[in-house]
Amino acid sequence: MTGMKKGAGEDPFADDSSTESATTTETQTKDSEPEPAEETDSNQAEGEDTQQPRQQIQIPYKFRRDGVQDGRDRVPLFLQKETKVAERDALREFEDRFEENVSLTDLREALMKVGLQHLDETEECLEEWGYGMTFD
Amino acid sequence: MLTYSTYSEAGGVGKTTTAANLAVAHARAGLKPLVVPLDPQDGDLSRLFGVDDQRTDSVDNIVRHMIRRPNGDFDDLIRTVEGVDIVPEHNMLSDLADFLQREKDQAEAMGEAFGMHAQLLRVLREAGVPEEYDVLICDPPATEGPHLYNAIHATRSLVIPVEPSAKGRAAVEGLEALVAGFEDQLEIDVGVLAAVPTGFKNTRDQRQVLAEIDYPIPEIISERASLMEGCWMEQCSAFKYVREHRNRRRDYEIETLAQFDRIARHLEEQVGIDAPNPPEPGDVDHEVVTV
Repeated sequence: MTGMKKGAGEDPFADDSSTESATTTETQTKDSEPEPAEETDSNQAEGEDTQQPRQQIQIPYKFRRDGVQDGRDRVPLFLQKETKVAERDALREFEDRFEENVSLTDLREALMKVGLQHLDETEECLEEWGYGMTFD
Repeated sequence: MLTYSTYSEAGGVGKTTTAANLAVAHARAGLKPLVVPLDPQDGDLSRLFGVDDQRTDSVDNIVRHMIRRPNGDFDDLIRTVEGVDIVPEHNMLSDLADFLQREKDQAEAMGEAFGMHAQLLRVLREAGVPEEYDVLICDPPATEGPHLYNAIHATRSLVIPVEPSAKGRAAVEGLEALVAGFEDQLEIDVGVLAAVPTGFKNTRDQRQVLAEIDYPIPEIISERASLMEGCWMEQCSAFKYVREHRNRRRDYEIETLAQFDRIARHLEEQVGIDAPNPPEPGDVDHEVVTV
């Protein structure tokens, strides 16, 4: 009888695991790197900053405001249980990535903004809830 | 970190008692072991250690964590018995394949990757298990499926309790075929730390089968039916059973305990772990120093 390696197999917890892609649990959009939450004023013309290196740095929203509700309108949000769980997991994930507290309000708006850029996947989700069903 | 899964064909080989007693042997030597049993049937490691009281209740459990729907922290799943941390089995394990498949379909609809066989490793990694523990032992069922694959994927090393018979030989050959396919599919390397022949009666046929096993055999364990039955009755390890439930010490049973100690040392050596407080093998009254 022979066939398997004698002795220890590889270290499953080694960082360079070849199965990293299989174990990943994050949703990563293929076309963009996750960026830190940086918000530029919407009235700033796009592409302006690519013309010349101007030394004008936009202070990120997080540091400009007095409180998390500044510059935001309150909208009620009703979530299903599993969505809440997933939201909490996402919050932990980002707190790990940034190694600092992440405001739930910030996370929610960020999730919203990303969702708004992915209407097709959003459509699928709505269809799961029964939208688009016809009863002929 | 020492990580291994115990594997043997179903029934009677003492796979679960081997996993349980090795875990206690590691703990006796001052190491911190975590045991993750994955058997969907009763008569499993959780029952052996008496931590299966909630397996039918609607409580948070390892399956929920594997399908990314935990109802609490991983740490809260853990029960500690005889110095060994255990993640108790739950009846949701019966439907693990379906749960994983559903999660995979869902993820793929969202354009995500979801490795069905990589979820246990993910859960353990996210829970910080490699930082927290010295030894990880998985005790999966022998049947091919997500329990076994997740265990092998999370540990990459095997300890094979084997019956020294034609049936045992066939089981090892079956395992070799299974692991070979699995290694290719997931691009991982699996190794066999030890084969542990159990139920040895020293017949010519048995010696012949053992001679053909090409893996390290640190010890050959003789038939210990009475000792193992006692463990199931009292829901404890062989070490505790001999210490607390035998009115007299039997030399041959002490020898079996010594064998578990020596196998544990052999496995630790394979990955360069030096146990801080190893007992004299078979010393039933060894003082466990907990850090």
